[in-house]
Amino acid sequence: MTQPSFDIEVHHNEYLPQGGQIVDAIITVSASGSGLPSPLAAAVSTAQVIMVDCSGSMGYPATKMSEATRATATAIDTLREGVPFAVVAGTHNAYLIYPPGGAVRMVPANAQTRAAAKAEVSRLRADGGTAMSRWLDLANKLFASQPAEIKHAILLTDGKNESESPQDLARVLDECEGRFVCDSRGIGQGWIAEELMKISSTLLGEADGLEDVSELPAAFRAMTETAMGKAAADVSLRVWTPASATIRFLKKAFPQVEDLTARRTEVSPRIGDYPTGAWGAESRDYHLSVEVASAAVGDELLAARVSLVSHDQKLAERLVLAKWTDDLALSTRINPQVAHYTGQEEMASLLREGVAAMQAGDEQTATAKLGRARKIALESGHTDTAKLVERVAEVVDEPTGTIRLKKKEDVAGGIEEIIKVRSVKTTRVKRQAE
Amino acid sequence: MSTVVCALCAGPLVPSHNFCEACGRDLRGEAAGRCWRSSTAGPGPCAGCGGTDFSADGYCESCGRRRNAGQDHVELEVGGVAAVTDKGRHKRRNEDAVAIGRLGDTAIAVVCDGVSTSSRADEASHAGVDAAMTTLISALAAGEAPAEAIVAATRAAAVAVAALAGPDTAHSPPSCTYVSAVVTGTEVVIGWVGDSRAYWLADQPGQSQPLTSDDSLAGQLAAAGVAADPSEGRDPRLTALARWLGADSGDTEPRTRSFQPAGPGRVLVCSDGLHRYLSDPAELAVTAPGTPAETARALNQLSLDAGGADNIAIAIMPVPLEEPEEPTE
Repeated sequence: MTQPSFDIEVHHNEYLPQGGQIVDAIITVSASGSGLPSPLAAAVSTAQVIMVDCSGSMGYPATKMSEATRATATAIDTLREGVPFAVVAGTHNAYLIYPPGGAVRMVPANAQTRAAAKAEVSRLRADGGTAMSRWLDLANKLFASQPAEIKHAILLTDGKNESESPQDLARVLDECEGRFVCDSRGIGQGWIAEELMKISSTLLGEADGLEDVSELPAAFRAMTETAMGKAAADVSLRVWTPASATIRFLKKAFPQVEDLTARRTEVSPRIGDYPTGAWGAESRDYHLSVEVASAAVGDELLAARVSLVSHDQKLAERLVLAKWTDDLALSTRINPQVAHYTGQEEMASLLREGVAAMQAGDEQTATAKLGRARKIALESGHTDTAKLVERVAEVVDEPTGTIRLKKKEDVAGGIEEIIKVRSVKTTRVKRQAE
Repeated sequence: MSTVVCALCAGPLVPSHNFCEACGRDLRGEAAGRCWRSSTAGPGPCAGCGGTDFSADGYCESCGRRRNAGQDHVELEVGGVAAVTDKGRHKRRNEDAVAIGRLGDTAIAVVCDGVSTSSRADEASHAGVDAAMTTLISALAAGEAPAEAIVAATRAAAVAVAALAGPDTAHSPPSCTYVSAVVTGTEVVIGWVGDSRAYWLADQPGQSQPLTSDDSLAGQLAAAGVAADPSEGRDPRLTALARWLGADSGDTEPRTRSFQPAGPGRVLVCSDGLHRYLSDPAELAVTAPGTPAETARALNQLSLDAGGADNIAIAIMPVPLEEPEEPTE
């Protein structure tokens, strides 16, 4: 496999005032280059498992199951020639519906296997409960037999994980962590944003909700195409920090907010690795915040050394420096990238807390938090998020950003979960001279 | 037979050896008869935590402190040429660098002053003097005329300094000034970029004179005969550098000058850490008599006593030079 070439940029104000100890930096990581395969080239070995919710609720309305079937067929058609795949039907149990025969195995995609798989998928019926840990456990076992570099799963659900305890799901997620990447999608009104976000966080994928089941085939195609475009798996962000420094947090900041602080794997006392999953031709931002021991004016410190590593091979490296100065013009300069993502992180929290307050009947808190979130969204050019808030609240006074919650009967079902699951999506700051 | 000392530890060298017996310095490529030393720091413990493990890019592997390229105070002597550099009283580190050397009956001195608003200015000045000295000695040994050798050395220093720029220094790449002097039996040749200076300090009263004019508005005014008003002090607009070595510098070609001394005296090469306090050639000539080492030390002390606001670098080259046969240490 040819590695794509990685590039790291650091955006921060390296000047600290006397006594200053906090270094905030936005780390932009971009993957590009000839190492990336075209969607049709079989340059990188990839394997995919599709998990389709077949619980009883999937039968109402009937379009849910038919669109899910159509979406799965679309995903199968989107697979690159030769990519091993399998389809799992999920209820309170998990069933390998393709390949048939009962053995836990995957088969390479070709005209014959695609047709056979789609035929099996078309026979799916909704019946049973929901125990996602069973589905994930079967996917994990399927992938275990695969030597593929990129292991990608899609999980589709319309409901709450109600046929088992949260501990069951947490335990299986622990087992699956680092084994494969999982994107998840919720449809209808019964799914829980937190559950899908937990799955996608742990398995380094993306969670989302769809308002209309007719969007499913396009979503399945997009997820599969993205997975087929990945060229590097198991890439970690490696961070060296000096003795006496603490990492306050490391978050993915774009395209979604994802706190990676607790995901550190200790390499040595001063070096830790944070998982970033698989990479195609894409660019992401990370927000690193380090607390260092204060030093004298004029001193220079390496606050962090950030590198990307894959299989212990260093792909790129940049330094995050700190310099103490008594020049206030330098130390008070706010880096626009750091400010932007600090705002986006706040917006994400406000959206989740606002919807939670709404669901708990705390109208006052919900109004304040969602109003503030909408304001940040508008200021940062995040119009999609502002529009989502307007689905649950109406704007009373645009200049002040004052909103009023809509009546429950005026709010479309499932929209609250969509706001929560999309709260983590961020925009990028418009690039300008810093 | 000439006595050659190691440029690093000043220990005596056996011309046929590939390495210094005392410190292990690699001598291959260093021909007999040439010797130089610079104020560049050797491997030493971290100033922040005392750690000894540094990354390739010069940061302490333990506490993250950047390793200083220079040292707080250094005194050098090579073949009768002497130099002193000092951190001064207010700067956090020494961003001035000096190198002195001998090649047979020729003496060389180089001073670079790190631009304090640039990143890693100490690395710039030390890379500058070391690159310039290496090139100067090789070019002179190859038979090049001093003026050509100085141009080549300045270019080598400019390349070395520009190469220090990296993604972490996009806004202010490492930069420094440059001045070098070559003293032969008959002439003194100077080349410079920026506001570090050379002076001729004559033994004969009335003969002392500046050998450089600063690459700044003030320097251009002075060269045009416009006297500065001493009551104005150091106007930053007038003393701002017009030329320097660094990745963001447009013009790094040295201005050069050749000078034939009428009698005995000394060549002073220095940074503004000295000439901001004492810049009159006649006063400089009489202020610090004695051996080159004594003069360099005294002028350094004078700068410190006057306030020591900036780093100081001073080199003194006697004219005529000591015979190269004499022991140097």
